[in-house]
Amino acid sequence: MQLSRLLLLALLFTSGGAFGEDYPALSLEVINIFMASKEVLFEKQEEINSAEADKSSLFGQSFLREIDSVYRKNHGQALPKSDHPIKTLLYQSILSVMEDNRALIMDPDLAYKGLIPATFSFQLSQRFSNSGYPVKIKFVGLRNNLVNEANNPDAWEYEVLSKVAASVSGDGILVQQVTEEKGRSLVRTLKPIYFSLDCLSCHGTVNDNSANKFISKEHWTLINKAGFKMPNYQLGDLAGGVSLKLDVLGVQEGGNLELQ
Amino acid sequence: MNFNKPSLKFRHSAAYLLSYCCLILFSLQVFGAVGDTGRSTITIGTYGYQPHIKVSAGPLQGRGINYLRKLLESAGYKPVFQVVPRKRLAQYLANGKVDMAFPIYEKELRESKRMSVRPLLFETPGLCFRKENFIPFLSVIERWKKLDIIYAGGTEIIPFLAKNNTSLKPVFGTNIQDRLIKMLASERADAAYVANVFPMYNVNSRFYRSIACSNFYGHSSAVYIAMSDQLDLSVIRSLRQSYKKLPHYAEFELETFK
Repeated sequence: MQLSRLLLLALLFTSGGAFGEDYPALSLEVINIFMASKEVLFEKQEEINSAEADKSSLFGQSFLREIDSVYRKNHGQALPKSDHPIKTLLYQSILSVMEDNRALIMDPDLAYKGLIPATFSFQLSQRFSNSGYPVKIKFVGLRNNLVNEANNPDAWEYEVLSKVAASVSGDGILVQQVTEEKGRSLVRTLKPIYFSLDCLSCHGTVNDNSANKFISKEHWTLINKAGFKMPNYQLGDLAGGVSLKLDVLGVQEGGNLELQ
Repeated sequence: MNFNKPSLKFRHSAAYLLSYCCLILFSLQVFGAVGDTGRSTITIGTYGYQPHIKVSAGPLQGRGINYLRKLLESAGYKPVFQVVPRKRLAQYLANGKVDMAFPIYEKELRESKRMSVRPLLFETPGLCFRKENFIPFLSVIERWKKLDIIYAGGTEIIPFLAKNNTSLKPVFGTNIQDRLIKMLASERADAAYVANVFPMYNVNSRFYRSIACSNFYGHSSAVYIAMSDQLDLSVIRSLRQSYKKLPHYAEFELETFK
């Protein structure tokens, strides 16, 4: 299926309430919140790894306010209210993940904590997706260069990422499609992510490697702070995407699931 | 009325039968309701599950206890906590020896009912290190595949670890957590595998100053509050209603940190 056709499909159902509720819009909103939280994690790296910094902005409502500020910058509007169980669940999951990492974040003896956007988003997707709610979200990588096997794309994600990779950069802003699985309608959304300058400190070339900071060139290493070999990506290369799978019937039945 | 007509006889009998059934159903409902309202306590089976359930000489403590107490009291019941050996808790629940149980894992649920499809919390296994040897990313297998790793004997090892490290050594005895940490501190081992990182590595843990732990993300287990299937349906419903109104445990945990 051509990328343009996938985008067309998205247009076909985003406008109307094909399911009584605008699930494609909701999916996109959830992805945008997910990505904003990931961005905050990136901005807060110095604070996270510091031994002395005030870290109160990394927890609870303060952390949500930080996400709100990034969301406003990215989308020109306030962070969405938690007016749907999916959004409520996502906000709870974000706060829970930060709490799960409290010991690590507060540990004054670790110079490098390793709480980076990749590990944060993996934990967040696990927490969110394993919560018994019929919505799954995850970061998916490219099959030929996976750091974490759990980020392996499924058939649909692989097809979309392949099309996006083959298209002109910037063409694949968002892909949404309704698919059928075991007789159930799924709203699938994939938002591609491209490498920015910040990402290259771990995913770029040896010149970008942040582990080489303050080290003379003859002692430079190919291994990044995470312990992986620098994969030589360039600015604007496709990194993967954030994928969301929403089971329409499951969400509609959500009220019976004894949630919250 | 001519009762000799067979059709009328049938109607008459049917009306009697219907009235009788209604009376029985009504009585059942009344007595059932009396039974429910008459119940004032709910027995919760549990065991020492740090830091959520702390078993010591006095009454049970911990935020798991506070949460369960709040849940039951808001539903109009008085909680009675019963400490049960860990391996028997699921059996106690299945036999109706306790009305509720916490913590219960997915595989232990059997016929019992979850308070919600949503797990109360997750357990994540991991490796604990001396701080100077901390490995932040366990997905970098090369960093730990040759390390000497100890673990409490009887603990289930995740296949990912077992497959990639051949120097796993079980440790037995009492105060096993302390032994593991002492062995780490004295450099008799490079790392300690734990089935759940959180009790070992949290800001209130007595080990917090000496060790740091990394998680095997993607290998978490869901932990539930479960109810006995022998519990009256109306009690189950009222407990679930109260559970829905409570802040989720994650938020409740946050509250306790404030």
